[in-house]
Amino acid sequence: MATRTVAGRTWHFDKIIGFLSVRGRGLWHPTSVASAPDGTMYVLNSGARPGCAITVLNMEEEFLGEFAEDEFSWPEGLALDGEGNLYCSDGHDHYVAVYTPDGERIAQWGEEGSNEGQLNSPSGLAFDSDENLLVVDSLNGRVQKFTKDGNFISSWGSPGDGEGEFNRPWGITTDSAGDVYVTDWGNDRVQKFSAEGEYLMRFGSLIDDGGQLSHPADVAVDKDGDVYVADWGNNRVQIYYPDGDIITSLNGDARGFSKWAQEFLDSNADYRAAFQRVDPTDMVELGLFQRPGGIIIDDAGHIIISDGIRCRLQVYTKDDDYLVPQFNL
Amino acid sequence: MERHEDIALMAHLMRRAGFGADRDELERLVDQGYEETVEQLVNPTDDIPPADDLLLYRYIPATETGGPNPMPGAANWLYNMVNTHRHLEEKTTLFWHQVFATGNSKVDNDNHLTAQVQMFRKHGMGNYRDLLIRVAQNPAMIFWLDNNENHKRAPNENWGRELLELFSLGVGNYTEEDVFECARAFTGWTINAKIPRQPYHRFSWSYTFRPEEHDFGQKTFLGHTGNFDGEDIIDIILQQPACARFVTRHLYNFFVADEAQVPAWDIEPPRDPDAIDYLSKIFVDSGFELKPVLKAIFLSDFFKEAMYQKVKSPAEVVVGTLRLTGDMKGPDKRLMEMGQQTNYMGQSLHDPPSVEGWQTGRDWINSGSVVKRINFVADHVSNPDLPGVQSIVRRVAKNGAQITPDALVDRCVELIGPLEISDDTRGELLAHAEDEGPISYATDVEYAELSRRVGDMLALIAATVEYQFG
Repeated sequence: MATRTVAGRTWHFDKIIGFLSVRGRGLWHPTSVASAPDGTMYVLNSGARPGCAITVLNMEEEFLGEFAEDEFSWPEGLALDGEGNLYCSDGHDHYVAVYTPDGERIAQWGEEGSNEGQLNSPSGLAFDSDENLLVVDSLNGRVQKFTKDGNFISSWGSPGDGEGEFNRPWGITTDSAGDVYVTDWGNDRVQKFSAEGEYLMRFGSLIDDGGQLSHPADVAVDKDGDVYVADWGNNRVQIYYPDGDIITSLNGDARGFSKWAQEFLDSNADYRAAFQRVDPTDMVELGLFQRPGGIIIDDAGHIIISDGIRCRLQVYTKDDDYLVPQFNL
Repeated sequence: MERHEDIALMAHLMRRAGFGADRDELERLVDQGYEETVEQLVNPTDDIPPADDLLLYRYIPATETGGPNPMPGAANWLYNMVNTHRHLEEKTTLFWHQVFATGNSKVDNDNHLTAQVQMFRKHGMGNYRDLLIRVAQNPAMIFWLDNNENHKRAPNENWGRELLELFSLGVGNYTEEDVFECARAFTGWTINAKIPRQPYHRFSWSYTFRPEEHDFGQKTFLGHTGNFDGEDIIDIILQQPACARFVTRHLYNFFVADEAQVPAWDIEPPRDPDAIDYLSKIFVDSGFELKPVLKAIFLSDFFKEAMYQKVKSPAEVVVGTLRLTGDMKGPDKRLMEMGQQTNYMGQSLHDPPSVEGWQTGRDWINSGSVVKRINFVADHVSNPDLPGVQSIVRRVAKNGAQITPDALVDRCVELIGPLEISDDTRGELLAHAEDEGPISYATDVEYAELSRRVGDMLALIAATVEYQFG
């Protein structure tokens, strides 16, 4: 098992979930992920081609179903409300759709435009502590807050590259204090705001200290306040202290096969043989992230990263005792 | 009149060194000057942006990874051709795809066709020797021409033969023995086994040299004897006068005027031998740099006098139309399908019919392809919702509040080209325009009718013989 120990923290690679499949059991360019309290995971399959938009599975890699087949043009964001309903944004058609946990579409709201409450390519979604939905309104360069029914509450931000401005922002999350983090994709940074939208700070180094970002797609915050960024353009996950200083990077450790992938190989002798012909030193590439597009931390502390091109999830855990590693043992 | 001629010449330059330009850009470039524009095309500065590939991959991720067919890769390339501001860089990329024709029908890893195209985009206006080595080490090319099957104990001549016949010298400038010796020199230039495409999507081959597979013995090639490897072979090829003439004839054929089909070049003399002599000397004197030759072409009289001497390729038809009408800016949901339009007209990007590439010139036209060409252009230029069409309508309506059928024809012919048309063609267009009489556009309703009439006229022009030339 791969581990990384830095600054009194240790991250363990835990498991791989999923494999390439356009429909049915499997994933197709996954981006956003949402996890319910019971461990059910919803994975958004992106891409402008017909296929199942949302795959339902769990940490044991059980296929629980799929829904929203062919319903979205450019699905970009997912979020679960307190009742277990799933919200999904369509960046092409400028709306948010709402599904029951069983996959029935029960609502759809949003219209194209730049006025208050209108949307232009909505992407990342997150609920705040009041169960209001924060929508990254990507091409309008702002974050808008709505009730669950789609009634406009407030917004902040404008297009640009200054503080509080955005260039095609994508992912969004909140922390335990209610602060909001937005991946500012086109400006190679993550911006942190108060719950009211006041600019607080940025993540993404301006100096060459290993903490730079390239087109970050998504962001998550763990219970200790460490910030994880899916550094989509650099094919890695960046982990920062709460103050924005870089801690370390994860480059991907999926050097084996998920349960579904192993079952595929068990029934395909040609592929097994093809794997055996690969130089072992080249197999390192198998584990690396390629376009990590989504990242969440579930209630059990799993750090779940959608590995876009590789059509899988990579799951890590973090030691939380913060003991100094006993290097002398 | 002088302004018209300047615009016409600039439009000619942008059709050949790029994929055409709308009237606003043509006027801006004329103001900038012809020589300055040539310089900008040949040596684009870093602040002139290419298409934003990451933006494409965010919204249409399959275009990054490719698939079992060339559809995603063709879409990727179409996006680049339509959205780049580095026009000649992209046009030269298409040129090399025609010369070093590599097809996914065999490679079956379209991500490698995209990688090859990206290599042409990056190095296609650089040094030809450098480019030949890159092509020889390109995984898609190695697999396409079987150099991964080229072993010292069992040489495979496929790459060696095409290197001489199609990529550098042409038929008649080497012997069968040279082919064999060339193949021996490239033994061991191969690719590593890659991680299979399932269960985790496509990984890449990488070039590798395997000394145990390489024939280190003495070889005799084109009159030279020595312990040659692939780079030595390329250096000997470059010493042959036939090489510079072959490459510059390709450049003339692509950028200036249609030549005979390539397989006939050993029996058909060049269309303009003096031009080939002139360009060959520049090519050799520069140490086989492409930029001096490209610059010499666009500044030459033979280029300026060659307006409408080439039948537009399907890629030029499709991309030129999209740029003219302002369609497909940025990632677009229709991109996958739009990327297939050139295929419907006989040019499947990433999948040429053979290593000889496409038969060009008048061979682009047959009863099926011409209908596809006309319909595609007509559908676009008659669509009043497209910004480029709206711009043309505004220019048609620039002065006054009414236009005669005669002026309608002239302005449309001017704004879609400027196009040179015969008296017969003009007569037919005028007859159509006169059927509906003069047009007033003082009111919104009348302006909408003007838009329709302009769209109809542009569509008719797209159906003329003259419009098939670029």
